[in-house]
Amino acid sequence: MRRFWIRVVPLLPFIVLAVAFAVAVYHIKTAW
Amino acid sequence: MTEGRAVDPGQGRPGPATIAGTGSAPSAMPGLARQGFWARHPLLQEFGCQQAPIIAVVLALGVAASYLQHGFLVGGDRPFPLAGVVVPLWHLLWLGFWTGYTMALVGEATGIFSLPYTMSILRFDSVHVSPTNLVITLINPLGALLGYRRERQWNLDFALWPCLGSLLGSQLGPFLRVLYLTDPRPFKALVGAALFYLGAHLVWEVTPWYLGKRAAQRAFAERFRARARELARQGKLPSGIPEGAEIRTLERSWRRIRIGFLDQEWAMSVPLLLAIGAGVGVVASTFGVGGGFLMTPILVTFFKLPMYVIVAATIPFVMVQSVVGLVSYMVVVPALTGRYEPPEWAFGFFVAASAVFGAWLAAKTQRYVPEAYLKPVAGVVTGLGGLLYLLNYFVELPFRV
Repeated sequence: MRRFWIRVVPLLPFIVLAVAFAVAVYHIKTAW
Repeated sequence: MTEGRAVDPGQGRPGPATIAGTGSAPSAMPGLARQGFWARHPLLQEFGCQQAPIIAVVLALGVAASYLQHGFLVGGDRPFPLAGVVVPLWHLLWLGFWTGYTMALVGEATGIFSLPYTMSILRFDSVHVSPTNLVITLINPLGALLGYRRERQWNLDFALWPCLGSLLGSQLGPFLRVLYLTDPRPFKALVGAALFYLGAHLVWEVTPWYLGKRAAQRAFAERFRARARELARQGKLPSGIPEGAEIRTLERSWRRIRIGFLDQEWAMSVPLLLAIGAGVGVVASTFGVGGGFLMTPILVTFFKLPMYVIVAATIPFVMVQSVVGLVSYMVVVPALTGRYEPPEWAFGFFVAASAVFGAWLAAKTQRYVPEAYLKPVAGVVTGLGGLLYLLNYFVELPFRV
């Protein structure tokens, strides 16, 4: 479990940025 | 932005429950069992005791502000009355989290990221966006501030002068915004210039030239990291700060202030600190951001301060300038010009609540995040956004920004 987190945590900011981009595109497509 | 990373404010000496629980055998008594649980999960304890109450209070303020200002709970199908846009509540919480998290990881605060996202993605680009963003920048550093104070990463003699400077500067900024920058296009161009500068700086920070020039600050930060690793090996929460160490005032007068931390000292001109506070205050309150993105590199350039010492001034500065800016938008500007531009309070509170959580998570995980990759990515995204805003002012783009 600890090794899993050590592998995931460094990727977390990039995952967050990717999700933010996806959410922004979703908002543009649905709300504009 | 010296090393790009704020020192974790929440880490440090074990709290009372941790001390009580350490080494105690499992007990049938529920109280002791609880202490044992907290001792085994210091992160959960820290979050539950320090951050969660702040987040809960700010969320409650958001709900209260929503009903008091508009008479209904915002974030549903009805548009925000002042912003004029429909944004679901989950999107506000997500905005606060991701901007708070990523910006804290690269040594910044939420404001300078949440402002362009709010304007360009959520389409909230009226004057109200600036005071609304000030609500976010006021609350976002709260969790960090309490941690820094507890850890004595705190020096009011040093923080006083930039804060006093902002009392003047942050009064003026809202006048510029309300009288001359109501049109989103020139306003976005100015924000674009700031974003482009910030993006370029983030990329610049990982280049060998920058790292070579900042060798002294890197050595200072490395001492903390070495101590943190040592504490972690001993099974303690790694703060990297020697017990009892504090930022001391060695000399203070109207002309000069001298502060010391560990075996280093820095002398600073008080009029210069005042002028920096006033200048950054004008820019920050005009935009509706905290001002840390400008204040930090200025303090690094003028006084060669390490990040650990800089946050002792920038965090109080950001909060004071946000309050002064808000008062100016709500009281001073209407009194003198008749233009009343209040914030969307609930919008600000909801974003700020999750930004507090994002910043805390960043402080806990930043040791594991590859700075050399993240800073260029964040820098390119920020710089490109800024470039689009600037281009949009001079030429007609095929899409709206």
